[in-house]
Amino acid sequence: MISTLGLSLIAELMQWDNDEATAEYGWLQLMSSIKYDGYADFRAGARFFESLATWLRQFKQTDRKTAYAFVRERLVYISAAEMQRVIEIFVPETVTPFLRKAAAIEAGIKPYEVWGRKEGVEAFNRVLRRSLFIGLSDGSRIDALRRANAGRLSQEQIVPMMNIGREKWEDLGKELRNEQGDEARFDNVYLIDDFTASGTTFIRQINGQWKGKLKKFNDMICDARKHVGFPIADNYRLHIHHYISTDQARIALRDRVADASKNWAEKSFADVDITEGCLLPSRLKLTQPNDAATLKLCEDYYDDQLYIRLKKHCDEAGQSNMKFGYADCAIPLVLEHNTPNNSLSILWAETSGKLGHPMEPLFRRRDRHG
Amino acid sequence: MANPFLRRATEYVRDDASFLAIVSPAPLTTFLAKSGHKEAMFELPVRIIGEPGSGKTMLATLAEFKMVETIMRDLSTDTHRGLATALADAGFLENGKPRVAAVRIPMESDYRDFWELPYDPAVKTKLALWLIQARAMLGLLRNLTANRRRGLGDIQFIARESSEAQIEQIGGLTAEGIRDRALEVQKAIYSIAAGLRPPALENLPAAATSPYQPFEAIRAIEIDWQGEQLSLSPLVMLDDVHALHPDQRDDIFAALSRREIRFGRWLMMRLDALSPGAVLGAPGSQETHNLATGRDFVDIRMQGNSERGAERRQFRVMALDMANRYLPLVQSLRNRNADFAALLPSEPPALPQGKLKELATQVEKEQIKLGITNARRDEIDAIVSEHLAGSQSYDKREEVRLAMARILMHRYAIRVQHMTPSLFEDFDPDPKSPLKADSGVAEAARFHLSDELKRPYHYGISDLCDASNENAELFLQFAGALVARMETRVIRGKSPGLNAGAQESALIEKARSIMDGWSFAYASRVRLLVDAIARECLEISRLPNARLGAGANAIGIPEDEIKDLLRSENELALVLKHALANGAIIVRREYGQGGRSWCLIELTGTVCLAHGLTFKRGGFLEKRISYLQEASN
Repeated sequence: MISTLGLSLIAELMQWDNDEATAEYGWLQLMSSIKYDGYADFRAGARFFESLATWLRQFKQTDRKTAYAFVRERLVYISAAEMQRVIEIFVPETVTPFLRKAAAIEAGIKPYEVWGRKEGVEAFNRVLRRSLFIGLSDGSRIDALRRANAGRLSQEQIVPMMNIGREKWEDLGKELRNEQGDEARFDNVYLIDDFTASGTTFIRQINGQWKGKLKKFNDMICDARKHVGFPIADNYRLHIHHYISTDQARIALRDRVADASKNWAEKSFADVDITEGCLLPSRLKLTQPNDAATLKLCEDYYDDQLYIRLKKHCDEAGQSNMKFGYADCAIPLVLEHNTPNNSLSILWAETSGKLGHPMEPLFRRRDRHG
Repeated sequence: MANPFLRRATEYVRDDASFLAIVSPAPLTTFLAKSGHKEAMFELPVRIIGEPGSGKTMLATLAEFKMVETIMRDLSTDTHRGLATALADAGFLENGKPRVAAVRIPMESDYRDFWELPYDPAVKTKLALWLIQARAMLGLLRNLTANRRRGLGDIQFIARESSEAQIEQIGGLTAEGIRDRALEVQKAIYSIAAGLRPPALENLPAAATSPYQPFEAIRAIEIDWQGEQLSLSPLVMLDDVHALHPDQRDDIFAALSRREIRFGRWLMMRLDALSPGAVLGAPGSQETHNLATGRDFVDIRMQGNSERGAERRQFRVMALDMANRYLPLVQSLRNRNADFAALLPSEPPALPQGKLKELATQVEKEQIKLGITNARRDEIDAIVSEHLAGSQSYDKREEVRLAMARILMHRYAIRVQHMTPSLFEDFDPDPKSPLKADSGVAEAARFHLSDELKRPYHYGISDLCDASNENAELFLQFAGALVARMETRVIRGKSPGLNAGAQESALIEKARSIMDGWSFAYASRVRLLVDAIARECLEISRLPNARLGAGANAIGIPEDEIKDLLRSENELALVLKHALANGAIIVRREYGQGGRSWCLIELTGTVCLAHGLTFKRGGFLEKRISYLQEASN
């Protein structure tokens, strides 16, 4: 059922004539039905049209065209179906090509010969089983990954969360040795997360101190390694995979991981690969002068209460306001299950206006930090 | 569901029930039931020829046995009863029971590939023909059993007399035997075309080369129908035959034209499958292998065959029926019991008072300039009033009256310009041929008002149908643009009906986007040609005396020159063929006027809409073939 009230309100707010409204309704109905209505955090009873109408209303009449054009032309929304696709391609497109090369080395053949020769296939199966897949958050969608690779990956080589207890390590090791022999260890470890925009959550340095998920993981491995039967090889290869990553995050991760590899006193891994299912290009970020009108909107309709609420977190990223999102990423991105805080705050922020303009979200964000 | 008017083709409707809910029976009535060759259609080969979107696939899908059975199973709904009546009129039913077992075989898949195989044309044709026959037999069995009303055991094939030799080749006369043999032939032939390398001729599998002619062997099919034995005529409908190689198509047509075949066979194709001569309707230019239309095969043209006024009327009925079936599927209009024609009121637009006054002043000035006395002006006004009083048109507003008077004043001035003025009295002679106001003058007046004062010109259901040139898909596209605007109005809390101005702007925008989207062969040259013709037609239609009445929307080329063109290898013939086959022009051959025979090249409704020309037929500019050459380059 289409929401005639929502659409009608949008047309009133935008002061469209009938022809303009007809053209825009076509687009709005298409996009809401295949994408936007699937957003997980709309208020009860409201979907995209209602949310868009409420969102547009907060802008002055003169600014509404800019705001609407931003949604029409710049917004990037990753739907559930699209997220499912990047999860499904992870093993065939990222894991398999790398492991095929490793299997070829192990079998002493060329990578293109792996599937054609028995020893190649056996080596590949061996290398694949000796790879461990670890989810870093709920977003890593390990359930979907498991289902997409049923029969290809064993349940005993996938771990949904990073905090792995001693008992679990022992289980993982025992199953691996049962299948592959007493000497078997995990040679490759894949750390999987859904999205990175700045790379900060994964690895950062604050006042000389390293923080982030990679640091935590490394510490955990170094600690677990002291126990007998620890299943990960000494010089294991670490693969950091995000289903979706920005170009900015990829560069930051590459530099910071290289820095950490060089400078960490105790480092559990040998080489590191950084990969992603979908790399968002650098032009995704809103920049001057091309996006001047939208960036001005972000300045004019901003409530600094947002910064105060997230101050500790923001300070770590070295920023003094949240106009353009966390780490000043200024990206126009929405994921179907939540809007990243790196996205422009006009998209997701909800404030009462104590320290500026009250902010009404288009895609309400479920916040972990404040 | 999104706007159902904008769906492209019947093939996208997967579910039989959904298809039956929206399908209009009108094409069955229009093209089959009223055909002069109705009786021969299940015996002779039939070529059903139409533009893209004229409803060929819809017609074939509706006539398939499984669809006929679905309709006949439940006659409690109006929709099914309407469809059943049309099927009966078209000969698919007899005494309320099916008479034909029809199956549709799409030709867009791999048949064309056979033409690329390295064998003799005769071998390639046989392979394709046998695959068609195998798939037709399998399709027939699927159709007969689709509704789970009978099993294979309830189906029996009846052989043609003296076809004993062929019965064994086709697997006998039982449904199981026919199915197994068809599967065997299909598998063998498919493996030849689908393989990476074609086998040498001598290595072709036996199943693919041994004789297989079910079309020649079978004359009828007996099935169980609600507890009684029913004999059905088999019919295969080869859809989109234009996808085949032209030589392959001709060979298959020749093979299917053998007189001993009792299996009905229809070939549905686009106009562009034919040669320019055949498309442009030149007598004796069809590739028919010494076969005669009507005696050896039947041609059914979905456009441009019958009397054109009647064709327009038929199409209006069909189009309106389709629109009224689609309308309830539009979400926001669902509960309004809306009638499509009522949502497109033909209420004439009114000029604003300011503009009307401006027009009156302008007409007065022209009266003075032309030296027309007030008495003559009064007489002209009376002629106009008299015509409008008796006219059936609803558009009789003051501005039309004024514009008509202006045209008649100019005509008067021209008619008396060579008469000698008198020194002693006012110069106000009667013209040699008296002035007359008719529907042509009224139409010209409306054109002038549109051209000069932007008064809406094309609106209402009749204009919408005329804009579509008897093409169902085009009609749905135009109607879809209007329905989208109606939806917008409903969403914004207004009544869905569109006034004349809103209708016209939507139609013009759509027409332009259709023309911008032309991407068929020679599209750019076709665009140049129609734009050039439209410009000249506009110029002549703007003449203040409206020399051509309602205005022009066509050019005429001497028939002899067109005949020479079609006999030559000139590329212009191909440009004209594709223009015609894709709805840019309409060609009317051997039109007599002024003691000469002309080939009229008319602009279609889409082009007329985009350029603001009249839909009324008849007004044309006399040109030579060299003009077409220049205009299309």
